[in-house]
Amino acid sequence: MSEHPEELLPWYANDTLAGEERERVERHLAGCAHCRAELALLHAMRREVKALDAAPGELVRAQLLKEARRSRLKRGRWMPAALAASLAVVVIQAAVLLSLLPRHESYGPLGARTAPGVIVQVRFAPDATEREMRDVLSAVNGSIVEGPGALGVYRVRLAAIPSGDRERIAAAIETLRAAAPVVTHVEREP
Amino acid sequence: MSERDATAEQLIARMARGEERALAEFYDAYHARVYAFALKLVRDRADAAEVLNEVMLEVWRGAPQFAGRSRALTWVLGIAHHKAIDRVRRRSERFEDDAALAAVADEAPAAVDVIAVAEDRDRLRDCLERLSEAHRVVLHLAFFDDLPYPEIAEIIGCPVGTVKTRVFHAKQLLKQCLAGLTARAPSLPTVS
Repeated sequence: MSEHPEELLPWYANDTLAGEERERVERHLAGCAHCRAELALLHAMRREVKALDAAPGELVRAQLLKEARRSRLKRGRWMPAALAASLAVVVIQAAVLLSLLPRHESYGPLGARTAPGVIVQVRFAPDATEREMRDVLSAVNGSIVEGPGALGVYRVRLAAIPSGDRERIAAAIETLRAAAPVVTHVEREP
Repeated sequence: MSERDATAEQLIARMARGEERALAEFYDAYHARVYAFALKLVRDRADAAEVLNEVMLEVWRGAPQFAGRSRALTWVLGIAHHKAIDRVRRRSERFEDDAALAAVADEAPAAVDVIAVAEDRDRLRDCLERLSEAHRVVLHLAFFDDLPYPEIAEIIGCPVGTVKTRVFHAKQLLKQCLAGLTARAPSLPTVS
């Protein structure tokens, strides 16, 4: 290490350096082009880390996690083990859901309620993997439009089926039920 | 103490008295930063979500013992670090040790020679992503959370000198990468 205060520069860059250390760096920077270039690189790194580390779909995730919190509070009193389990299910499936959503949808609403198709409510097993969930949804040409709700229930749109086609609706629900144990609950939304 | 820190301490005090609403408010205030930090370590969304869950339960349970010696953010990220490392170790993965990380950073070009390359955000991003786990974690705390080095040392449980040298080495390796000299630290002995 040289006499350049390079080990302090990152904290000058993030504006947390104070007192004598800050003054020392500022004095040095005034006369050192080498360290000014190092600082410029650190600023570039900081800008990129902020952009890179912000989780994609932040808005949607925040919305889902907020719902998880609400469901926990509705239970009235604190039950650590049960709440840990239920929150874990909802939060994990929130993460799985995010990976199922196309990237461009991650920042938008979870789905328009006015789009055509039939809505069914589906709950997946707590240990269902993303691939299992995707396979199940693909089998019925379904897409998640909302969820997980308070009990870990997703709203799934079966876009290809008209709302009056009871036979195809029943067949799709049967297909979903047959996907047990990945799917633990299915019912048509009233 | 900042207004934000004071609010967090009040929330922790309310949690210590058993107020669930305080946990909800704390969760809203900190979940994004805890999740982003956990994701940096465990590199898996579902695992990061589980760590987030474990951390918030630990905050709830540990609130009566919180003595205010650290800032709330430092305390909660310290818990997250511990939980995330545990999870990674359960997956039988290993972290590189500092001796291995230090051995590679000596021959880096000056920033002035690579700053033009760093303007290419794709290239800069690619080089950041090639850094080791330990380097990316300290960069996250330094540049995403903008924390001072003593707090980072407290969170990851190492001396302040280690934090400073890790960030310094991360920058050196990044410069090597930007200059096209090397992709990342070579595989040297690791510690579990």
